[in-house]
Amino acid sequence: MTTDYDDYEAYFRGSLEAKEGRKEELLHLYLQVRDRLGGAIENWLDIGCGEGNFLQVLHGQGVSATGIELDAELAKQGREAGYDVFCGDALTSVERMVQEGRRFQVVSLLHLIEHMETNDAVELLRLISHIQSPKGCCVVQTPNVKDRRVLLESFYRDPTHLRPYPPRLIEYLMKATGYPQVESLEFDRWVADREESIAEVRAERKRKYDAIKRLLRDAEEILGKA
Amino acid sequence: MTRSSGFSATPKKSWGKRKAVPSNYAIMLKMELREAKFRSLSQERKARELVNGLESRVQSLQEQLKEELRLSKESSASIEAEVGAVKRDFASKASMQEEGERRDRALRALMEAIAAVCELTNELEKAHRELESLKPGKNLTTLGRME
Repeated sequence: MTTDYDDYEAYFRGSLEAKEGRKEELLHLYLQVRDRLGGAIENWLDIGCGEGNFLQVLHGQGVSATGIELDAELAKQGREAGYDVFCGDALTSVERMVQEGRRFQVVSLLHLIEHMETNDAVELLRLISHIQSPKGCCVVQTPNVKDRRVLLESFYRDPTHLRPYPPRLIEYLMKATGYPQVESLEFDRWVADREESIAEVRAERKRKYDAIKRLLRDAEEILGKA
Repeated sequence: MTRSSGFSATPKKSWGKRKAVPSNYAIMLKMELREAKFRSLSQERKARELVNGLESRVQSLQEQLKEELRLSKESSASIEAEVGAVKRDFASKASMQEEGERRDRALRALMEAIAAVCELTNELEKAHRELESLKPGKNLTTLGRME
């Protein structure tokens, strides 16, 4: 590939507003994970941390955060910002951490595995399971290919994406690599959690629609007689 | 002596059949009689004239009465026609008022329906915005937890 990936990033994701919006999403993600783990998070490893946006968010929440980044320049930026960032390939870096006996309560891979072939992704997940604290948590975020806009356009806009990972495949891979409890945070899950309240809202709206129909029927009848 | 007039200045005395001799008294009676006849005729004429006048007057009054009666009948018919028109107008106005009330009720029902539709539309828009803000959309996040 002759095009510089930095140029691609700058072209598609470079705006300040986009970065701030992304940080809000990351904070929301942190809060979701924290709520599920039921308390303060001891430490967090972010694989593919880039220039350290998520590390910044985690530091802001008082979490001890470490990053791994393949791109030397981005890793350097992260270190210069004061974060603990390792520069290197994800598989090699995590393998070394396994050997060193490092442990992390939470490990995140945000928009990373779609840049990997399936075998490498499986191997990485397997290695990660060896550096997790007991009852630890692995967070995988990837483009949601159940969204047609993503599948038909944005996923293939990035020339370094190797393959999409559908939700069911990720769930299967995580279970197969040592994570028996797998939870998807996609929209369908949100709907399922609130099925009861949604049913109530639907029933209330149906009542209102019926009332409107009655009123219109009455008006039609009265005008018909007149 | 002549008998042409039947009277003489000196009536003859006769032992036989006594010829009637008009006395002054008789003459006077005759004259009175004539005068009475004359007065009677005059009075009769006057009475006749009076009767004629009265008859004429009665006839005139009868005609006048007839005319008054005719006018009264016409006036009565006119008044009845006016009363009928007023009654019809009143009925028409009552009907229009009833129709207006029906239209008012229909309009109120329509207004209520429109207000309900607006309220529901606002709710749907709000719900749609909430769903959009909550929907992860482009990102799929999966959490795997160790035992």
